[in-house]
Amino acid sequence: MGADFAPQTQTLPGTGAIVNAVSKDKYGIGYGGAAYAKGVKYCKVKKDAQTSGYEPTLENVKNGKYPISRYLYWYLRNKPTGEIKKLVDFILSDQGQQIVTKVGYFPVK
Amino acid sequence: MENLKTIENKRQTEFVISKKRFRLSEFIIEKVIFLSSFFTILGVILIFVFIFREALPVFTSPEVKKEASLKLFFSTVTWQPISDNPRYGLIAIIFGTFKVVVVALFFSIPISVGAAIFTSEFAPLKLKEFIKPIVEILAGIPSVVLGFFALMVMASFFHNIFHSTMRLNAFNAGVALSFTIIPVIYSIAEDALNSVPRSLKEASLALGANRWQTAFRVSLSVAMPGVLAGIILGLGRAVGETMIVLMASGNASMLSANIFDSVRTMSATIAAELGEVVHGSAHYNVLFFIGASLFIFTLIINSLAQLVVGRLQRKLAGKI
Repeated sequence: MGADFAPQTQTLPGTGAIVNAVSKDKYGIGYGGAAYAKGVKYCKVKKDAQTSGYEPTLENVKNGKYPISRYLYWYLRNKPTGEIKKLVDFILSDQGQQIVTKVGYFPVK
Repeated sequence: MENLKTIENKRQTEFVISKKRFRLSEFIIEKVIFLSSFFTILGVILIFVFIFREALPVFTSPEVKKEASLKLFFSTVTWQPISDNPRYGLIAIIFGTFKVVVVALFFSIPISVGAAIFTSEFAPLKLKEFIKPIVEILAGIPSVVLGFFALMVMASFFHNIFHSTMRLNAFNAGVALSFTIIPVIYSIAEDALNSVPRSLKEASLALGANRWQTAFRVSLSVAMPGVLAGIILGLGRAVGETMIVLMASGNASMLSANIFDSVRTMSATIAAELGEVVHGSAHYNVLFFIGASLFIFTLIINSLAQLVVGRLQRKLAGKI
């Protein structure tokens, strides 16, 4: 953790391109947004050489055991009011979080 | 006596022609046309100024120079701006552009010059009228479509034939790029070959040369300035092409002589990283520096093309 990428790492425009490239290459491996992972296998990821590897399941992401997960942030200029507040409340509600799970990402709550 | 009269008449006519009547509509149109050309030139100058102003801290600001100075660009091979120890080595990226462009030229020059010779020297009229529009269609294909095609179809195709370690590589991007250059070189070379005077071709045939000897040794030599200008313009176009290399080359900033390895080009580096860079940081300045270098390089290439054409045209005009 904290080391640089190898110079041979390929950067592709978008997770969809990465999934496509990995699916067509026998020895391919890559990482990207979890919702795009159709047609490829998940790998267990270790935090370092001593700990054990974890797959990106809902519990592993929520309790932090899966090492390469991150939050998706919304940036607002002020505290949400009016229509923006309604949108933010909808996303954080049960209905919104269910949509998140359905698409393939992991809910915040 | 008559001579004096003609001189007087001449003076009168000169007087009438030189006196311009002030017409408002003409004045307005002149000024509008002047303004449009003025704004075009102004736009180019302003883009120039903006890019160079954002790239300037690489040369002037001491904090930026600690991370990324002209010396540091060429002292390390690694391009790793996002890390605890940021390094801005440009060697791998410049060589990446070079690799892709060389592959593209290697494929496109024989094809386009050959096609130009064929349609201007050998093809029957019906075939010529069929081929020319199709090459123009090739020019109209958007580069993102070509990049997509290279990413999905061509990469697998070449991977099955050559079994390279990396599926997306410089060869793939170079071949896709050649589709963009072929129409450029073809149009200019074909125009150059068509403007070879017919008398030269007929003279050569009359002296006993056959058709392909005439085509290659006479027509091609005479049209060489135009063909070279086309190649140089194609080169400039290839260097600046972004979308195709972004999708088809794999964007790995590694330095290797193998054309079946992924490469990172200068244009793809800017495209991939400028969206997420911190404004005003050293990384930002370096990306603009790369953009400025591309700008200058294309400027030199186009000026070179004009120079080559001008000089060889004068040489040929002197000879003939």
